[in-house]
Amino acid sequence: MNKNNQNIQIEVNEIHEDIHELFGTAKEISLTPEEKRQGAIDFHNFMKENPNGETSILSPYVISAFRFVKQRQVVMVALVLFLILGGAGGTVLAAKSSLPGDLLYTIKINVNEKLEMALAVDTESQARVAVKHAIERIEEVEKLAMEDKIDESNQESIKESLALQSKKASENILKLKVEGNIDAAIGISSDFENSLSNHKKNLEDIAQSKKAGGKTLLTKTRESIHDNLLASAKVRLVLESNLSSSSQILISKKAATNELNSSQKKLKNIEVLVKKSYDIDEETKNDLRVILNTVTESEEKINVGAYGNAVVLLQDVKLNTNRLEEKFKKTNTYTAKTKPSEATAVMNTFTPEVNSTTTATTSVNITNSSTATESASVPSEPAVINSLLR
Amino acid sequence: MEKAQNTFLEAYNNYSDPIFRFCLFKLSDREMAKDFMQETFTKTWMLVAKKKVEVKSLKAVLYKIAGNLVIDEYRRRGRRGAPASLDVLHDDGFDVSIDESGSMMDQIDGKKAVEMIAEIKEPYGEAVFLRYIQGLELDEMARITGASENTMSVRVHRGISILKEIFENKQK
Repeated sequence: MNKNNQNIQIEVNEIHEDIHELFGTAKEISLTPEEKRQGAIDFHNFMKENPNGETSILSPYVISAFRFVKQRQVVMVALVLFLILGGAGGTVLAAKSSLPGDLLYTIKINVNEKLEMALAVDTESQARVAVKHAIERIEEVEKLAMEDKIDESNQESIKESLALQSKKASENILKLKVEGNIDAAIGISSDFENSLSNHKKNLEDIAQSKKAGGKTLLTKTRESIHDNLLASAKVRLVLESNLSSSSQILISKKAATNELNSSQKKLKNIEVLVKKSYDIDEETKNDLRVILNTVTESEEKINVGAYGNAVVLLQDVKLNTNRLEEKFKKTNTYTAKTKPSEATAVMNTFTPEVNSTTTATTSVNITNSSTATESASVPSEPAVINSLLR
Repeated sequence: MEKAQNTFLEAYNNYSDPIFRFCLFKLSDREMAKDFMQETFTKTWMLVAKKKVEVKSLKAVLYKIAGNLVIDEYRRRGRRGAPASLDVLHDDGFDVSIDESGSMMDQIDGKKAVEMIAEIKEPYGEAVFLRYIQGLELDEMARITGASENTMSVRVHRGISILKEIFENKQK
C-alpha cells in the first residue's frame, strides 16, 4: 500500500460508522438480473454485427453479395407474380388455404411452401419459415377438427405430416446452432415451443366440444403435438446447454432460484396427481426418482454458485414433470370414471407410511405452501411421493 | 475476434453494474444511466475493434468513455461539470428528507446514498465515489480522470471531510 492509500485508510477509519454504512448502501445499486442478462445479449449481438467496428460502410464484397441476393429475390418474386397473374396463378393462390385431402393441397406443399423456403436467404429466415410451416400443419389439423374431417383414414397421415414438418423445423434450428447463432436458435426454438403449446390447448378445447369418437381421434392428434412439443423442448435444452460460458456466468442466483421455485411448483402438481392415482407403475416411480434427484442436484449447483448449470438441469426437470403430468392426467381421467374407490384405497395406503423418517429426496422443499387443512386430512405431498418411492 | 468478444462479455459481466452506478451517480436518472452504460460498452467495442485505441486497462477505458458520454450530456443540457445537485433533484420530485425520529441510515436506500455523496462538491464528490463506492485504486482513478495520484489522494481526503460535515449537519 503506498503512502497516499495509507493516508486514505487512516481517514476512513476515522469516518463515522454511518458513513461506512452509507458507502455500503450506495454499493448495492445495480441492474436487475434481467436487465443485465438482456443487456449482455444485446451487447453480444452488437459485437457480432460489428466485428470490425464498422456500422455503416459495407465492403465492396458485401455489396456485391447483397446485389446477388437481391437479384435472386427479384427472379423469385417475378416467378411468383407470373404464377399469380398467369394461368397457374389462381391455382397457386387458391391452394394457400387448402387442407389435407383437398385437390390443391399438393400444390400448397410442393409449390407454395417450397417457393417460400427458396426465398428465405439465410439460415435464420429458413428456420423461421420451417417453423411457420410446422405451425401451419397444426392449424390445418384444427380446421379439419372443427369441420369434423379427421377420421381413421387420414389420422396417420396427419400425424406423419406433423412429425415431419416439426422435424424439419428442429433441423433448421439446429443448423443455426452449427453456424454459431445460438441466440437466434434459442429465440426461434422458444417461439416454436410456445406456439405448439398454445395449439395443443386449442385442440384440447376443440376436443371437449366433440362427441366420444371424434374426441378420441383428436386426443391422438393432441398427443402427437405433445411429442413434437417435447422434441422441440429437447432442442432448446441442447441449445441452452451450448450457451457460451460467458453467457452462463450472467445467469444470476435469483434467476436460478426462480427456476427452482417454478420446478417445485410443478412437483407439487405432480404430488397432487400422485394422491389421486391408484395405479403407479415402476416406470413412473423411476421417472419421479430422476426428477427429485435432478432437483436436489440443481440445488447443490445453486449452493456452489453454478447457476447456469442449475438452470439447465431445472429445465430438464420442467420437461420431465410436464411429460409425467400429461401421463398422470390420462390415467386419472380413466380412474375417476371407472375406479374411484380403488384410487382412494391406494391413496390411503400411503397414509400409514408417513413418518418422520425422510429420504435424501425430502431435502427438496416442496411442502412450504401445503395448507393446514390438507395436511390434516391427507398425507403431505412429499410424504406421498417419498412413500411411493420407498 | 471471438476471443475479443469473450473478453468484452466478461468485462460486461464484471463492470456493467459499476459503470451503471457511475452513470447514475452522474446523471440521477436510472433509465438514462442504463442507456449510457450500454452505450459505453458498444462505443468501447467500436474503438477497440477498429484498433483505434490500445487497451492496457479495459476498466479504465470504460470509465473514461462513460465519463465522456456524461460530459457530452452535460453540454447538451447546457450545464457543465457538476452532477445534478440536490436542488435539481428536489425539483424533479426526488426526496432525500431524513426522518429524525429514527436512525438516519434506516431512511436511506442505495439511490439516496449515492445522491448524498453527490452533494459533495466537485471534484471531491467524484473522487469519494470512485474510491469508496466503485472501489478503484488511486492509480486507476488517476488514469480515468487524468489527474495525478497525489491530486486524487488530496481530493478523496477533502471529499471525506466535506461528507462528514454534510452528515453531521443532517444529524443535527
